[in-house]
Amino acid sequence: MDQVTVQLANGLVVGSTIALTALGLTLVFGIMHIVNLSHGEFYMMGAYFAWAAHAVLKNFWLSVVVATVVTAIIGGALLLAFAQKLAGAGPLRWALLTLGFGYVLRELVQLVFGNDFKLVALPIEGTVPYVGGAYRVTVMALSVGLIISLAVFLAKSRYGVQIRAIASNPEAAVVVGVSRRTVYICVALISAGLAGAAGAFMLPITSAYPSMGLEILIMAFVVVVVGGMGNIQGALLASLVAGELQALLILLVKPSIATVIVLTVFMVVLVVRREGIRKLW
Amino acid sequence: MLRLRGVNAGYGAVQVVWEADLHVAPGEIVGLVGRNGVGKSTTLKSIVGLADVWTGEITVGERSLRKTDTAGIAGLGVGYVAQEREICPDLTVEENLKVPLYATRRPLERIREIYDQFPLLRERERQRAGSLSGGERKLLAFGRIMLLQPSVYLIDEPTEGLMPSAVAEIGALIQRLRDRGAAILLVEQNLNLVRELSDRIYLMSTGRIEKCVDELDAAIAGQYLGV
Repeated sequence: MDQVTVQLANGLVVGSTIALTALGLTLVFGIMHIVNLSHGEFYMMGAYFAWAAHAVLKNFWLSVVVATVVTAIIGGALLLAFAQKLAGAGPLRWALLTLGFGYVLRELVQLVFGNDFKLVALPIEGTVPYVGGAYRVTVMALSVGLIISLAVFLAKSRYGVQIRAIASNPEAAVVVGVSRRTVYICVALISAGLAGAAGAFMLPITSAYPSMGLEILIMAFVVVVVGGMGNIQGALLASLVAGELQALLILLVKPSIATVIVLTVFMVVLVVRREGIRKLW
Repeated sequence: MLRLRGVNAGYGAVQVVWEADLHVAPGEIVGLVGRNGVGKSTTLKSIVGLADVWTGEITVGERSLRKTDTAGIAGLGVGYVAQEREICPDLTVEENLKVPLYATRRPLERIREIYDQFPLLRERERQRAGSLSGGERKLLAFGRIMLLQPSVYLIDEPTEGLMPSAVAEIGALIQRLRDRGAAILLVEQNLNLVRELSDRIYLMSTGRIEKCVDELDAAIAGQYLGV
């Protein structure tokens, strides 16, 4: 029973990390209509920037903040540059461009940091009874905090309401003065920043390595599609289900098989409901 | 106030409006009528930057709108009430009213003025805008634009699909806006309403504004609208 409880808690950690990555992906698709297949590389950049910052600052939490901000700026600037150059391009062009760009980013990281795994020690030792490692619990709490902050920002803030207005009906938003450019800047920064934070959080657990972005991208992308492209609540729910399912399956099968089963389940959902779970509420 | 000179406009490579000339003065309602698909809505969209304008001049007062984006044009006092998709359906009524105020950094207290004018919207403030009736959506669309206190209103078929009582309410609202000194360019298929409200009427056919008349008599209506 204890093992199940620990795995359920692990599922929340995995699910919240997927959610942080998936939220950025779905926001950028919903608002900027960009299918960003280089989004996983923002997650990877977050981990590497955190490792590099930690080497200099020797403070993990400060390194997470630095990595999040730097990834938000670099990733956000790239998204905005893409959006300006390829305005009105179809999803296929976006997918091809960002897929290629992700490849370039991975190669660049290997060039700068090398191929070996970059790891930092757990910043918090010890375990929480019935739940698991204290660091994992902290990461889960921080991820949930970030997700709630994003939800409050979108629901209540001056810019959040404008972002939702553009998502709901761009024409009706711009005719009352909403600047599409300002909204795009906000969304690009948030999207890249969330992925960067997720990557930085995972650094002490998985270490940083060049293909880590590709692995999270596949899960995040499936979650976004199942949740309904551009649908934030759908992405959150699907992330949670993916995390829990994967964590519980690990009790029965190897982790790689667990991932395959989760992806298969989600693919079956897509076959049965092509629009994903968007219309469930 | 609002003036178009030799405007050629359309979408992508498709030209819809040819050499459009018109003007609307403050405190004036000017109709723009013609059959479906002649370019009336595109003329309005070209003014607010939602259609491509290739040549010609569009000015409000002395200020050219050609180099300004749609959001900037709204800030310059040009309010556009679209024919359809005129609100943000996933936001509540109140959030729809907050959007223009947030975007232009104006105080939220102004929403009260809109609620005072349209008490129905106050009753529906927590309701998702997409669930409103056609008439309520139109009132919300007007309310959002009125919060910006525009000097020019571009109103595209405001009574389409509405009950007669709602048509009368929208007509009275447009007259009130005119009485406050706004310049109003009105695209409308309801000829009775156009006749009742308009000081002048531009007649449009196959993408061109062909003439301007003071009265829309039966012969002209037959020629330009097929009725």
